[in-house]
Amino acid sequence: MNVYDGLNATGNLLASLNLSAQYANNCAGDPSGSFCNWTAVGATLAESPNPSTSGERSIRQPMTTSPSARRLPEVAAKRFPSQLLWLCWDWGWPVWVPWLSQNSLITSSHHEKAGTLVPAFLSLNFALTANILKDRHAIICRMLSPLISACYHTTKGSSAALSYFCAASCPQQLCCLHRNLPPLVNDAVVGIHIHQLWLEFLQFQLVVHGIGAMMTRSPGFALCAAAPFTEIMPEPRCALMDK
Amino acid sequence: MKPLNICLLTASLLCGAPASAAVIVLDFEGAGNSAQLLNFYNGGTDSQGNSGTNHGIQFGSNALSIIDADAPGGTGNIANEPSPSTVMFFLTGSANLNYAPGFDTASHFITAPRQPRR
Repeated sequence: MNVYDGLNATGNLLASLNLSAQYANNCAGDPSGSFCNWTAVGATLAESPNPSTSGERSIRQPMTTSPSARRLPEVAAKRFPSQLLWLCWDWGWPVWVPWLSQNSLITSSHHEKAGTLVPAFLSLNFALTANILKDRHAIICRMLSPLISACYHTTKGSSAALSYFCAASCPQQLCCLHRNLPPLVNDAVVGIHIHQLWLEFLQFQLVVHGIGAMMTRSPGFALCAAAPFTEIMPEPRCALMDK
Repeated sequence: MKPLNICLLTASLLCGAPASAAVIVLDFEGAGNSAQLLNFYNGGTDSQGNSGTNHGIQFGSNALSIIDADAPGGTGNIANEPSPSTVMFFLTGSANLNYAPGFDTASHFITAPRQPRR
C-alpha cells in the first residue's frame, strides 16, 4: 500500500506498507466466506519539506498496524482431546479430527444462505481401524446431536479456511449450526486406532472458491463418524439461533 | 493453484483541509456486487449505477466492490467484514483512491490473498 501526495499515485511517496497475506488466518466464515481476517492499518502524516501539491502534508514513516476488533481469538488448546475424535471423509480423503470445545461453537441463523442441504442421514454402529490425516483438505465435523453436525473445511497447511454446515434434521425449525470453528487439523496425528460409535452421512453444499473473491458453490458431501475414547457422549441438543 | 492478488478493505480516512479535518468512513455499503467503484463516492455512480455519499473521492477502474455471499445479491467470498456486507477489493494492478483535498491519516481494514484450493 502506497500513499502519494498526487492524484493517481503520482507525486511524492508519503508512506508505504507491505501487507501480509493473512487471508483466513485464525478466522472462519460468518457463516461462509474465506477472506475473513481483517486488520486495521494506519499512518500518521508529518509535514513534507517539498510537497507536490500545496496544502498537503506527507510522511516518511512506517504505517502502524493494530489487530482488528473483529479478529477471532486464538485457539488456546490445539491438541487432541482425549474424550472424542471424529473420522471424516471429504471426497474420499479420511481424516481424524478432534472433538471441538463447546466454546468454539457459535450458532447462526444464516445457514440457509450458505446453501445448506440436509436430505441425507445414515446412522450406523460400526468399527473403524484407520486414522489417517491427509495433507490436503479436511473436514472437521462436530456432531451436535445424532442428527445434527457442523463441519468446518480447512487444509492442513492453513489455519482456517471454509466453514460448512451439515444438518441432517432437527426437531426444531431452527437448527444448531456453527461458525468460527478453530483450526485444529494441523494438530491431528497420524496413527491407527480402533473405535466405534456411529456413522453419519451428511449431504450438503460445498462452498468452493471461484475466481478472486467470487464465491461459487457446488454439491458435496461428508461422511463423518464419531469415535468416543472414553465416557463422554454428546448431549442431544438443538440450540436456537442467537445471532 | 495460484494465489490470487486480492486486497479487501474498508477504509476510513482522516481527511482534510488544514483548517477542518473530518473523518470520512468508506464502508462501501450500497455499492454493487462486482461493480467498479469509480465515482460512487464522488457524486456519481459505480459501474452498476449505485451512488453513495459525495465525499469527492474517486476510485480507479481496478477498484471493485463486492457483497458478501451471505447477504442478498452477494457473491463475495468474505466474512467478518468490518461493515455489514460490502467491501472493496481489486484483482489486478493497483486500486487507486483519489481525494483531491488530501488527507493526513488513513486507516484501512485489510485482508490479503492466498487461497487454498481443492
